Amino acid sequence: MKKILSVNSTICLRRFSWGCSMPDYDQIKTQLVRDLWFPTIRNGGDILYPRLKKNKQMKVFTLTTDTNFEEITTLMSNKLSQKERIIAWTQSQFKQLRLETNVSLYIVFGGTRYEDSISSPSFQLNDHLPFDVINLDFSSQDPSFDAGRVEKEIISLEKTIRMQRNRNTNNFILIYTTILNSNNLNLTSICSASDTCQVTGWQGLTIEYPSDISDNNQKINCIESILCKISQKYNYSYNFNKMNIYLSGTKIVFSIAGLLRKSEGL
Amino acid sequence: MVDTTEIKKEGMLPIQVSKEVVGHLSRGLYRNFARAVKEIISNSYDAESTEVKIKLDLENEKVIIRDNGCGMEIKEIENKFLTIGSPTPLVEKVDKIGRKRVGTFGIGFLSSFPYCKLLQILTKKRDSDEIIELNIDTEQFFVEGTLLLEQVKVPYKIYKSDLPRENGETIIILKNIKPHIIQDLKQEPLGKSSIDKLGGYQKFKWTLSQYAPIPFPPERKDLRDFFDDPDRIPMRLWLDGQELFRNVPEEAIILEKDEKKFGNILLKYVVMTPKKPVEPEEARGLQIRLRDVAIGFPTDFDVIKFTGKTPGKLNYLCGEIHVLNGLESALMVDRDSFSYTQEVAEIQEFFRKKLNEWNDKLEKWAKGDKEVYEALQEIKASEKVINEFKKADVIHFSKDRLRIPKKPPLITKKNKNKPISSPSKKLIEAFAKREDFKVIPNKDKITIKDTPVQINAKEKTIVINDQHPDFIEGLVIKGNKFKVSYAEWNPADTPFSICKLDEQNKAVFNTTHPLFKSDISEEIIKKLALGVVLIAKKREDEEDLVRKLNHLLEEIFLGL
Repeated sequence: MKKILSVNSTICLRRFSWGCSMPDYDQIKTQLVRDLWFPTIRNGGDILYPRLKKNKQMKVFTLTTDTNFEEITTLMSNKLSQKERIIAWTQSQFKQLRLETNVSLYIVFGGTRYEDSISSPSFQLNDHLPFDVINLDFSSQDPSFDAGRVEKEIISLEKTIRMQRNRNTNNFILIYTTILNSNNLNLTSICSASDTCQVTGWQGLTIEYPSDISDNNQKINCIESILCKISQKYNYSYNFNKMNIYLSGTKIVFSIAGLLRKSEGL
Repeated sequence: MVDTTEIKKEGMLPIQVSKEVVGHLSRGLYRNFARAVKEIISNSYDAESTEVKIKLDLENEKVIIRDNGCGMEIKEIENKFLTIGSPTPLVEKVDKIGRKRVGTFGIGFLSSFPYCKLLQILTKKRDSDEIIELNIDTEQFFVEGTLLLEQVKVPYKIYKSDLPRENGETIIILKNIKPHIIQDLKQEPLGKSSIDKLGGYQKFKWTLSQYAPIPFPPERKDLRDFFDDPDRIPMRLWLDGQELFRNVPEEAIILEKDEKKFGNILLKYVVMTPKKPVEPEEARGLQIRLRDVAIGFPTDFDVIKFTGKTPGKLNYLCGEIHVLNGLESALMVDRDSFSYTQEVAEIQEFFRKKLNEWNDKLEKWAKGDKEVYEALQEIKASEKVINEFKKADVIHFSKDRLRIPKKPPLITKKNKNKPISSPSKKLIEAFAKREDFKVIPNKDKITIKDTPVQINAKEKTIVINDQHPDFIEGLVIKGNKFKVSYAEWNPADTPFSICKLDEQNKAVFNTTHPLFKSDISEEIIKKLALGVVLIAKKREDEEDLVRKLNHLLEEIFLGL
């Protein structure tokens, strides 16, 4: 069952060094952690580890930032995970150093973008898969807002699911967060990239939307649909909740979080 | 006399410095890795940092130290940071956040050189948009080569900063930490008695907490109130996500705190004790701090050497001496000691005397406590009384610190010249020698329902309720309990020279009998003497038998 949470929040603006006013993404993240991510992980944890009432010690991967890493501290303080079992990724080497000294995780990757690195044969996560929780919060990675950004993120999402599946992961929690803006969402590039990842018996990704989507609400519905289809491609069903936070202008922070479960009978 | 020697050529020759001199200097300055890291932290303190965060990443052989201080721009890096030995006088002036400068010799950044192969520095000056990255190959200073120091170049890069313009930041990364340091840091703990036994990581943490200019723990409000300058913003330090505070032995109480002037030198000091040996042993003595940074290890100022005494409770003492003014010019380059001056000698003598005084006091307390514990051993509710005494500071040390035997030994020298008496009288006798608390007579006749003792901590008086059931002594022979009382009579007047039973079947002991002055335990004599009376009681020749058996006891124990 899909439960849709739509939040109209007042987002405070923070003045950055270059002078323009930007939404305070740290504040948005706090809201996402509290209202969507933490409940999803907690409930998903009960399904993944029903016998472990306390200290679930879930293995977590998170795209995060040095200024707000509340998802890490929340998981640790609620004993859903511990610092040895959390791997963080942030796109800048400076942020990586700050994050390392702030939360003292055992592993923090940094210096490159997740969506750019995932196709590399020496992808840093290869030795650490699979995870119980994968939190792909691209809004924390200083998005460039160039055209084609969200498409790249979705392609990396499929690769992530594929990597988990290749490690025979039956169930895991997947969270995807992005910022949608006025740029069109181009489905052709997503579908063609998806189709290069071949799966026996899979006929290809077909989405009932126009190839270029400009309306943000339509983009959200389309992304949901793509995620469900990609999940099916790898024999998973995806039960998710979602949250939209409307920012000034045409920007929306969109987050979708849920449990991917191996489909029955497969 | 006219010099007729002809000058063929004249000129100037340079003194050249080999690059290895940096290696020699850095290696000779700092005793261990933690203290080298402390030097970097001290630089952060001088850079007005309010937060310093350290991560020890042993798996990747690196240490990251990040502060939110003012950072550096390229000119400062060139003229100050990379200019070895460029001194900054320790002026009295305070910076924007109320701190006086800690670093003075301009060599602090060399501290890490012997411990890593590469030193990376990333720094952003406040109100700048740039991050400068320096990469120093530290290994080159430890291998022989032909380069002179002036030929060594440090590569740098400049990046656009991702931080708000007003923020400053410096990140120092010690890369490729030497294997012996990694091995040391991974060492398992063996105990708590010394820092070498704490284990590598804990030793590192302890040393940082001891040396770095960080606050006292929040629960030590007494120390914070006394030492902290309200106008100075403290620097907080985290190691692997955990905030560190200055080392203060657990449960250490302040014995004395004061301010003292020696010529131009102004000091604030605190003498403390945890009422047990201070652990680890390196924390024993008084820690001198100049501008919040520890100078050397805590010291006892060589009390034993100078006084010729062996103070038994010196290991119970710890504390801090903060230099508020003066002494800066006497600081040695290794920051471990001060050069000798008349004032330094006076300070040392003063604290030697202080430690001696407090050692004597603690020894006196221990002696007094021991006697009270021994006296209390015979009453049923002694734990209750001990707790009341502890609460009111009548006794200072816990029982296990004083080595009190559970039962008196069979043969003891202590009985000599010590009259036997009831437990309440023994307690009164134990207090008779003390100067702090006085036992006053039970004028109000405290009733049986009351507590065995009543303490007035303010007036330093104790009333002992000798009628309290806990003070009524009893002796158990073959399951029968006999109440005990004491009296004096001439042993020659009656066959019952040591013990007799009165009308209420209470055992009365003759405190004047020589057996009670012997080396034999009082309890043994009492049991034997009462046993004799009980055996004889059932016999027709009761008095004769008692006389014979008592005589036998005297023969055995007094050798008559």
